[in-house]
Amino acid sequence: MSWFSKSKQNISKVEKRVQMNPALLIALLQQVVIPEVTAIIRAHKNATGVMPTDAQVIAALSDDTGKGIVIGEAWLAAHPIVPSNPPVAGGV
Amino acid sequence: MKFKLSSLLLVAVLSTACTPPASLQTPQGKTAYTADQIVVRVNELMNAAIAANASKDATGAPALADNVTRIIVTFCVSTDMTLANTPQGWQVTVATAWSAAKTQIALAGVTNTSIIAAMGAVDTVLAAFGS
Repeated sequence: MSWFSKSKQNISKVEKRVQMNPALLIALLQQVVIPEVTAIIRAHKNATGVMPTDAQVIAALSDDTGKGIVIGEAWLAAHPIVPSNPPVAGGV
Repeated sequence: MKFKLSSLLLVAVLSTACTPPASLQTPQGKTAYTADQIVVRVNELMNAAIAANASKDATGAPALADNVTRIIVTFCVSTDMTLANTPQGWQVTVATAWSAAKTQIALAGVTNTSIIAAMGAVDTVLAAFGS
């Protein structure tokens, strides 16, 4: 089999995989790839397109940790641990 | 095989994030940059877990169970606190906590692709900055 026809086979295998798993690709793009690319652009350039200063990076750390803690603690408060074995009435 | 392309993309993307911008002059700035890179990925994992927990599957159950989400969110909150308080000495604490969280997540048999990808991002960035 020639290199060209083998490549065409490989490309059609990838296309089939993509067609079979569009939800997987969308989930990966939305949850990981897009936030990653955004984070990298933000880390290397601030809002004005200029490289960040030390003070800006230190402030970004404080900001990001603060946001994460607030969101996480809010979820934990809204989803308390439910005992799996509630106490039986009238007995030990 | 399904994850090969996305894994390669992820590694390529993350490897470019490991170089601090040339504008950072002080050790504190460089330390804060490293710590913030960890925080960003950890928060992505937490957001993916909370989103998966909020979405329902065909049976009406959460796509990610509450107990597994709690493991992930607890790890992420404690990591954020550690990195906020000790941006220069977090490595052992976070690595230990992450190892424990991964063990519990593995025992729960999580197959959610977004979670697995986000966990891979945390693994990659901890490997890059954790030594």
